[in-house]
Amino acid sequence: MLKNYFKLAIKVLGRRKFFTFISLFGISFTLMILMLITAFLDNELGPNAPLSEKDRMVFMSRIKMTLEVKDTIPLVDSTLVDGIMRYDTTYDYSNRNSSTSISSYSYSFLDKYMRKVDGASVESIYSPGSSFDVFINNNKLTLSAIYTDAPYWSVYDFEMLEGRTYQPQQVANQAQVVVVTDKTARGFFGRSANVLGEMIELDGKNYEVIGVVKAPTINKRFVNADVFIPLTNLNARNLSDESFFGGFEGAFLASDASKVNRVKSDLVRKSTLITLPNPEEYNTLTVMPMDYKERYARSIYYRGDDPKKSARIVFGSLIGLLLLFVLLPTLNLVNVNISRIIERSSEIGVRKAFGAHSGTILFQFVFENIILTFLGGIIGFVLALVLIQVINDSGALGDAILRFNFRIFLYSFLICLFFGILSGLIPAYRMSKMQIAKALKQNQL
Amino acid sequence: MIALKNVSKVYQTKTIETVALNEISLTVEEGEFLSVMGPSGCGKSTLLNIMGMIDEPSHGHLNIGGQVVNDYGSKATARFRNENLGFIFQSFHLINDLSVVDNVELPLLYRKTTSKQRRELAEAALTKVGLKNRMKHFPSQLSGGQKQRVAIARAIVGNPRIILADEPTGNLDSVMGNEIMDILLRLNQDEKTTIVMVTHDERMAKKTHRLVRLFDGNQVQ
Repeated sequence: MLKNYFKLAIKVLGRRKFFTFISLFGISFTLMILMLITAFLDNELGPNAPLSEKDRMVFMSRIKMTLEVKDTIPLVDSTLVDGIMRYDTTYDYSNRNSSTSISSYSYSFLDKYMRKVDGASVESIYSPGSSFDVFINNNKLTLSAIYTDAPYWSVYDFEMLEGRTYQPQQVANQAQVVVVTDKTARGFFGRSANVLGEMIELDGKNYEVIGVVKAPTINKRFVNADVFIPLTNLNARNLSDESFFGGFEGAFLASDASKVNRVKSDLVRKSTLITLPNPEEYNTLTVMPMDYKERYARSIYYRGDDPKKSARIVFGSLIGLLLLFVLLPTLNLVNVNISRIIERSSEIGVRKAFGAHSGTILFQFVFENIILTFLGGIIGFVLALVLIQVINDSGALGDAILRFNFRIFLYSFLICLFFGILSGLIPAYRMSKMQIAKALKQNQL
Repeated sequence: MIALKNVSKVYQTKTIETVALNEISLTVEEGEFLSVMGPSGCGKSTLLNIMGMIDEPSHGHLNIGGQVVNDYGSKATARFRNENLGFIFQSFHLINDLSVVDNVELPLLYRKTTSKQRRELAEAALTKVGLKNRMKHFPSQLSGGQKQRVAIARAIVGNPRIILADEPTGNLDSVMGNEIMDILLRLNQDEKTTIVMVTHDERMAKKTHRLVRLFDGNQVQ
């Protein structure tokens, strides 16, 4: 039966060439955009190296300290009772923020208070955001750097191309070693392989290259750097400064995804145990542990201290926009399909007269529409591949490199199926309910 | 085989009520070849549609093969039609996008059959109507008479007990009309298939066992 439907679907598509062209153009263009969005979202949110363990990650990137002062506001109410004015005074005691500071953490804060977190299997402290100007053949090259501890390489699973990462002992010994990305190796040494043992001078210090990792294809400051340096090479003051504010952040890997909330609550709990050194300056401390999605959403839409709210708004809007983007062409296709199916009402009449019931007719037309959608999907897939290549070559998304993998292919398949069913169901349902006698009066086949 | 008891069909709009059939009681015996005649709009096709369960009577009962069938649900009705009834239409109603053999196989798609069985049965049906050599053709490549023969093959492929033919020779010239009529007569004689045929052609009607005449929705003969 499916073979029969398939043959018929192909015949119908071939017969109405203009309609097929219009439909396929709409479908393939829509699906191309959806596949592109899927590839982008997969790159941003999918489990890709060096962020393969996104669903286990908890970040501590922001600390907020506030000085809250109690304010007393007297409210005086006066009434005239028996010719005498009476006064009733009420006092409103409320907190007033007199100063708030938000910053990244100091090393000592994270090291002293945020260790041995319940549910976390790996804990890392690092300082992103440094940069160095180096000169090669009289050309200035700016290298971005992240100072990290050794567990950093366990949290973020960079693809190792050559050599190895630095070990805890090397970090403790202030070893002057670096790990570079293949992109850096190419820019600095003119080749992306065989650079182990080469030296790089950064800020007056000579570092030996001990490893080359694949440059991440995602624009995130906590993994996107040209060189990675053991954090003990930082100025000692950076590590010993007892202030809570600094240039560091912490990343925690929960032992499994279900323990992420446990890690977050334990971090908050630990923060409540801290005695503030100078209550006259700040008397309230808020830490904001975030999972990957919350951090991602917060970077798009900042919503104060509530990363959960940011995530709700950002991902809610994203889903809403995507649905809208699918819905509009679907409605259009529904219309086209209705006119296409009406032309075949006499066929529906014949099929029903010879024993097809409404469900069979419904299935046939939805199936035909799915075939049309998948043809559009194949064209859309090819177009998306071309467009991805163009985007990657143009560098329009910075370091982000979009690519297709099986997961995106699966999502694309599901999108095609959803689109095909959605746009075929309404017209097919309408026509499947058509009375046979009425349908047979239409002579066009 | 087919028994209609007090069957009426009334088409109701907001302003007008049209009586297409009025209290028709009619019995068609097993193996009988019955023709229905009458002027245009007298309710012939409506009567045939009701007998074929593709239209519902407003009042009255339809009994086929000893079963009251007008209370069946839509799935049961579809199955009953598939197993017991074959239709032939004046304008053939072949699916132009399907080959002759695929058109003939159509009723078998809605039964449990393998594609091999379907192909064999369709070939046998096409052989009966003399079109085995046209299996791979498409309807647009056939003459009117050939199209109607394909439609007959489609009607008989599922071996139904009853064939309902709505002016099967109406769109054909007399030579082709006679050919079609011969096939129907042969089916009736050889296979004992019950046939009800609506026609405008007195000559064709005379070849059948019995003639029923309708006028303004009433049975007059």
